[in-house]
Amino acid sequence: MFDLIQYIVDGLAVGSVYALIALGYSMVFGVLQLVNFAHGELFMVGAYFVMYAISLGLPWPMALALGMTFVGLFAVIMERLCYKPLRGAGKLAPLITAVGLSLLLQNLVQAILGPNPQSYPAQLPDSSVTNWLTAAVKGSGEVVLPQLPEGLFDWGDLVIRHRDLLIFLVAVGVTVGLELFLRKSRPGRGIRALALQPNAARLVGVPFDFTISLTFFIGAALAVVAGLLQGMADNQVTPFMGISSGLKAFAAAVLGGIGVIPGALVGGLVLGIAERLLVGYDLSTYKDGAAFFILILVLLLRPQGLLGKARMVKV
Amino acid sequence: MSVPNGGSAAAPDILLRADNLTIRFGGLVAVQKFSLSVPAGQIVGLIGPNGAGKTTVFNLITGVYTPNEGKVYLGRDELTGCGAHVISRAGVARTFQNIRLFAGLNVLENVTAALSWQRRGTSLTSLFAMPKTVQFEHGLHERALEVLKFVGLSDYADWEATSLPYGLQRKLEIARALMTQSKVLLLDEPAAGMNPTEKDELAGLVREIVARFGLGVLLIEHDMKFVMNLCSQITVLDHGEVICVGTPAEVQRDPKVIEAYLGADVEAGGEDNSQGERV
Amino acid sequence: MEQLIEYSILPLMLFGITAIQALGLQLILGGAGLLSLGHAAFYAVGGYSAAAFTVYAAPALGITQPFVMMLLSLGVGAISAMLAGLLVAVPCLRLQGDYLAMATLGFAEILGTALKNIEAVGGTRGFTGIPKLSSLLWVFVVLALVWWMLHRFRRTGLGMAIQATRDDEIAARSLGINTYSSKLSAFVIGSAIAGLAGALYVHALQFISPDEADFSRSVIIVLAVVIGGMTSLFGSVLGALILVAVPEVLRFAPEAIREQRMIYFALIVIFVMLFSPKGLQSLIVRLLPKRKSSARAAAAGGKS
Repeated sequence: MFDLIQYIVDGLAVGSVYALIALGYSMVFGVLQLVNFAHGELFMVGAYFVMYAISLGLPWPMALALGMTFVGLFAVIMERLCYKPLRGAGKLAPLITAVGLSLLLQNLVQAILGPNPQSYPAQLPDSSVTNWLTAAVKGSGEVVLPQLPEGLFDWGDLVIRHRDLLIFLVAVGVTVGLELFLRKSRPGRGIRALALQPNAARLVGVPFDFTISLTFFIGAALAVVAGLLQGMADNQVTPFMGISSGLKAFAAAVLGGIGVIPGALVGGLVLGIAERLLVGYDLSTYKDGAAFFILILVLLLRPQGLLGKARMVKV
Repeated sequence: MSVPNGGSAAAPDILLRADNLTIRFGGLVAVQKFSLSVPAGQIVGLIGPNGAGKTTVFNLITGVYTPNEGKVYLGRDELTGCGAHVISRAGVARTFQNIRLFAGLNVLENVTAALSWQRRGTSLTSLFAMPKTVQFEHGLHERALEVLKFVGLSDYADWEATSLPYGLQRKLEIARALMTQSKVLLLDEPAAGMNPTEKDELAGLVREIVARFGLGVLLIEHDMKFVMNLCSQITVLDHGEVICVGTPAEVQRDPKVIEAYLGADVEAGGEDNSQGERV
Repeated sequence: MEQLIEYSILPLMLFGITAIQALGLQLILGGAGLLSLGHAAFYAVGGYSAAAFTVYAAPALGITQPFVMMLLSLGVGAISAMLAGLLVAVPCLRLQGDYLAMATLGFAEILGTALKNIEAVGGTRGFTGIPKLSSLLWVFVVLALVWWMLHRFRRTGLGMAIQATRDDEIAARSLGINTYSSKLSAFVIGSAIAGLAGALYVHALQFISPDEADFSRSVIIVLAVVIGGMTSLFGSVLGALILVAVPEVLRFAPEAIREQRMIYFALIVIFVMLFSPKGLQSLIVRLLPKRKSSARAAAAGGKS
């Protein structure tokens, strides 16, 4: 019995990372009805970016902020160049383009940084540019690596690691913050309006392109947060983490109800717990199939997801 | 084929009957208690200011939307709530206000596609080119050529459908609908965007369709001259409700109709397009 | 010379098999406008079932004649892949949006996971000990047959209904076409064709592993169809040729270039979607002597 509770608690941390990625899928799908297949790769690029920035000697908050800005802008440019020209060209074209983008990013990173996992502190390639960068950033100071807290809450049978709690709290905090942003702020309400009624939103003056860019920016920035957390938790970053976690996060978004912000959190957590349970009960070979099994089950039984409302199809 | 008599569902020569159709989108009542009948061999008009709900009525009749209340009959068969393809097979064909041709198919194929569902045999026979399938295809092909000839599109058979001039695209939609051999034809603003000559030609075509095939036609059109000349009976819709039914002369005199039109923008072309993709 | 022939047989076979897979996906993607990201899974289902048939069932049934065995295993491969396709498509095609893509992907992952756990077909090590029944001739005969069938299929009633559904579902329904069953047929036939390719593959390489159901394999087929031009059968075969030939040609190129072929493919796909949706086949068609199209252009000129 205590095993079960322990597994659930452990699963929350894994699920929190899925949730943070799922938010991006969910927001973009809500606004454009597009599965941004390349979203998982933004998470991966973000994880690398932050890792290198920290290894160069930047303090982690600054590295994170830089990473969110950089990857966010990258997502905005990606949307402008590759998705925007395909608006109105049906659903297939942007979806295939997204698959192509995902493939491109994954292989580019692999070609530049190598296919092997990297861990903190990342070995920077030895070139004049990186040397100059290193010198410029850290001067003579030491690189201080960020550490997730190592302590435990130990109640005998039940142990909660501080780092898991921290990751979980970050995910909950981000979800609540995002929900508040979407409900209270003007640009946030613009995003919701666009998701509900694109043409009506335009008529009442919601800036269309800006709002879509904003959606991509926020989604990508949150994926970078997930990238930092996962990179630190596993102490490992690979070119393939985007595709594996990304697909699971998509399953999480659908499970919770795609387009519903709290749904992404719920879906991510449920998925994380399910995976942890399989590992706990010696079924770890089935772990990677679990996400998709759940995905297909949800599509069959409750396509709108756990928290979603059935949407009327616009004709 | 004569429609059997008796029963309260339909008078003998009434083909299509809509009975008290109502549909609500969220809190908005888009169409309320809409009734209308289309007899065989006649052209019935459906007019009203922009946003009155005319296309919604078409969507209700053809099964794109399911009404919250009310019924649709074809002859004595009730069609309410059937899928759009079932209603089409039963004998109700339509065209679209914003032309919906199959962009990847040529003109002839657009027409043949209309009866493709009648194929005999299974997927397997189609794959292996069984004699039956081949024979069926030949028949279909011949028929499609005839229909194209009838509407005057024979010369364009191998054109890409969407590369046709606008007026011809509208004609192709009519040809496609005719191919289904329906009993009732619903035309959604067929004359939109046409010049006066083309409109006259179109009116001739519609008359010929009725004369030759004995179809009942239900017509939505903003061009009043076109409607008044063609229709024997007109139903006027405003804010989702029927405000007047009668002959062209009666409708033109009706104060409610005049008010509805003066209060609205008569000249604006096409309906307000704010609901995203429209039928 | 002999060595060269020896050396080129395997790539040629792989080209033929990839081309068959691509033709199957072309019907789904170009014909019906549905994205399957799990096409390799149906291929693997076909391959595994066909292999299981020749390894376990055929001896039990007393079938030993290689030709008959290969023929029957093609049937087994096609039918099992078809059933798998049905299983995935029946629920998912009822849904709106891009869920089919994700559901097929999910199905592929589940299948890969399951295959790794079935010891009778080799588990993670893969299925070995499959008799060599297939040959270059088998591959190209099946390829030609599939190509011809699909070419004819375009003009049949069902083929027409599938294309009409792709272009405009609402208009198709208004003409009496059951759009759900059109999409289902396309998906299921496409999956069956993938199963044929699977049966040919296992009896050529005498081996199949769960990796064949992998997402990356499915992506390769999507790349072939899109790069070649998803609106035409020729395009899919051309795409398969490019995907198989490029790595072979790059064998002689410096490693730095060879290793990055996926980057080129990805760039080409994005380029094709943005600027030339008809794919590379349209470039070739444009270069060929234009008999038909110039006649049509002349006719058009005369009329307008």
